[in-house]
Amino acid sequence: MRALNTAATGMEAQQLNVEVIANNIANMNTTGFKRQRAEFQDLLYQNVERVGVTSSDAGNIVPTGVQVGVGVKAGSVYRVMEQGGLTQTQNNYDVAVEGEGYFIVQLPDGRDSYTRAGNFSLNADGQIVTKDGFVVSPGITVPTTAIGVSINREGVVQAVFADGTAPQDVGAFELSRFVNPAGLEAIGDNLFLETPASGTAQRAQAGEVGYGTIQQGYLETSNVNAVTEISSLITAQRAYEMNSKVITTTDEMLRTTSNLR
Amino acid sequence: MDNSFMVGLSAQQVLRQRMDMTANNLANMTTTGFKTERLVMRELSERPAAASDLPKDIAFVDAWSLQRDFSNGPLMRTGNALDVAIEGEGFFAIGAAGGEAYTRDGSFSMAQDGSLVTRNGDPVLGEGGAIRLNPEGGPVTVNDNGAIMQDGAEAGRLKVVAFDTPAALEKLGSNLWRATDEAPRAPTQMRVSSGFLEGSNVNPVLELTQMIEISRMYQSVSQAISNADELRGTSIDKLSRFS
Repeated sequence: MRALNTAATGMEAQQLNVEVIANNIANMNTTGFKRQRAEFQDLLYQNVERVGVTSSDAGNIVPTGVQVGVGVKAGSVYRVMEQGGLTQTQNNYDVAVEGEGYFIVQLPDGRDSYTRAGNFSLNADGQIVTKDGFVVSPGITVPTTAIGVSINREGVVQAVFADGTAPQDVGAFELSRFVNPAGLEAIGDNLFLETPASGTAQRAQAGEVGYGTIQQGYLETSNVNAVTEISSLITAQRAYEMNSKVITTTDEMLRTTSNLR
Repeated sequence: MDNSFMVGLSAQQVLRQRMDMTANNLANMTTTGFKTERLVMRELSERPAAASDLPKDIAFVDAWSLQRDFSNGPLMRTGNALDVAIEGEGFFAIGAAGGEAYTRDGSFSMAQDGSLVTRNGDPVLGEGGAIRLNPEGGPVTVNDNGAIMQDGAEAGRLKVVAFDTPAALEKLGSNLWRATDEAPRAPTQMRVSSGFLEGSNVNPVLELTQMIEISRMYQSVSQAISNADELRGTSIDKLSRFS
């Protein structure tokens, strides 16, 4: 019976759904995390009685036919790139992007990766780096004599000195944006890589139209909404249960058949 | 074979098909834009399969047609501007392989060249062919009449079509439908909601009660077949004693 396999595809789909929701909930407090959503599609249909065939010699046409579906498949798991909330941290090197842009982070292997998590700090050379020590593009070095930095909305970093000299521009953050940010590949550690689906990164200074502005002393929280996630979790669990009931019922029907003789 | 076996068998075959459909409905409980389906059965009067004492026609059960529930599913907020849902009748037109297809699943995204595509990469059709957006342009929004706005100008308009008998559409899988006889027309009453997707309209409670009903009917038909078998066994047994 088809129903057994159909219900199995349903259970698999719900399992994936729960996994995605679990990851969202686990990353509820991850800086710059973007929630994911599992999207499902129906599988192929089997035509039992084809639509549009004639049902008699008089030319009557079957109005709707009979098509039996064979279950569900995962269409895609995509990221919802909604802006997360901004939370104040008071840390000079914590920055958040308000808008679409991503910070560009140079990976040790020379490739560029992209992130929304702006919890940066200085390394021993005075360069602005991520928590993993990767240099944030275009590589801003703060003089060791500076007592602090001020970062404006356009991403320009100014070093401030104790001896009363005028603040000095030391560089500006570069941001990137993508045609389809949902197509970025997550590689963990809050980093993303560009893919053919996302399109190549377009780069510009912060503050340009469409790239977003920078807020110093703030971090972007994850855009996971606990209430939505929990209610989706309940739906997913019940759906899983009901699909397992289909298997039990089908099994019962098969047993009835085998008990005939 | 006795006619009662054949009638019972026809009933069981249709019940299995109904069970397959219920299973499909439940499996697609969270499928975007899915519409519940039901099998409609009919009585099929035929001459008896074998000569019998009764001159009456006997009635078999036959799977006759599909009934599709086209009521709107719940709208789920996703927050993506290019996720759109239709409130009211109608389908989005998609340029799928093998001709125009229709869908209620409006989870679209922008491809690298700026064209609007479905999750499978098929182009989304507008009033005048595939929709092209500017990949380097600003944020995209969708109005409630289906117009796609980018940088303050209309970049295209989603083609939404409707059918007088949507139940006659053929399902292709992957949330796509194809027209059979009827040509699409403009919808009379619809509204496009941006940032939302339409959930499946499967009612789990109804499906579970259906399932219980199907399994009980299946059991009682089986019982009827066993009874007929027993009856025949008894008659063979009793009649053979006279010889």
